[in-house]
Amino acid sequence: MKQEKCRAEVVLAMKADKATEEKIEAFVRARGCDGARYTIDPSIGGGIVIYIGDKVYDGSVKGRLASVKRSV
Amino acid sequence: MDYGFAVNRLLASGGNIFETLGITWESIVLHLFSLIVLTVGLYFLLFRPVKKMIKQRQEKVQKIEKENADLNEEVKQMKSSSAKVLSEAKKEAAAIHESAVKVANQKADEIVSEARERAKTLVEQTQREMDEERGKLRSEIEKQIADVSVAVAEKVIEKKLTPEDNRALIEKCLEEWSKE
Repeated sequence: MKQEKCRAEVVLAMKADKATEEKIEAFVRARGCDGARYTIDPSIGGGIVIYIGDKVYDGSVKGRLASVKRSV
Repeated sequence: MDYGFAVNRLLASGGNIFETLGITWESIVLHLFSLIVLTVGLYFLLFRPVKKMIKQRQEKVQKIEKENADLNEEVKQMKSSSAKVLSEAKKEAAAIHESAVKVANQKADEIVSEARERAKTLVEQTQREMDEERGKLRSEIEKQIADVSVAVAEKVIEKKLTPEDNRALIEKCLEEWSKE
């Protein structure tokens, strides 16, 4: 039986260059996904947000500032 | 009276004065008898009733005096008794007054103590509420400062973040997540 592969959702503030995209692909493959679907959202301010299944990797400027705000 | 005639008769009778005056022993006896009868009559008809009346008056006066003395004694006793009663009433009134003053003072102390306790509780409650409000206000201000700071930081980072910075940030995140 073929194992169903997931597809990661990657949100960026601006389009990434080739080298960066390769690093992102490698990251998501290492977590069991066969590829990534990219979305450009300038509102995140910068950085990257990756959704893999229920897991969220938030490295955006907006997310980090929100984390700082919560800690304050 | 004709003294000359009397003297002539005295001389004519040879010096006997009783004969001259016409006094005989029968008349003397008669007069004595009349005097005795008069005296006895007066004794029974006047002296005895008057004496009896005087005695009755004396007894009445004595009775009145005795009653007066009794009344005086009674009045004296009543005065003494009333003085004693008055003294006791004064003592009782003083005791009641003292007791009332004591109770009033005790009540006043209780009221003052209760008012102080209430005031203290009110001050403490107000202080506590003020502290809570101050804490809330401080938290609100801190939250607003944080919001403003984050908003400002977002704007600044958005404006100053270059593609190179963005790439470096992404690579750093991937590196950190890979270590987990």
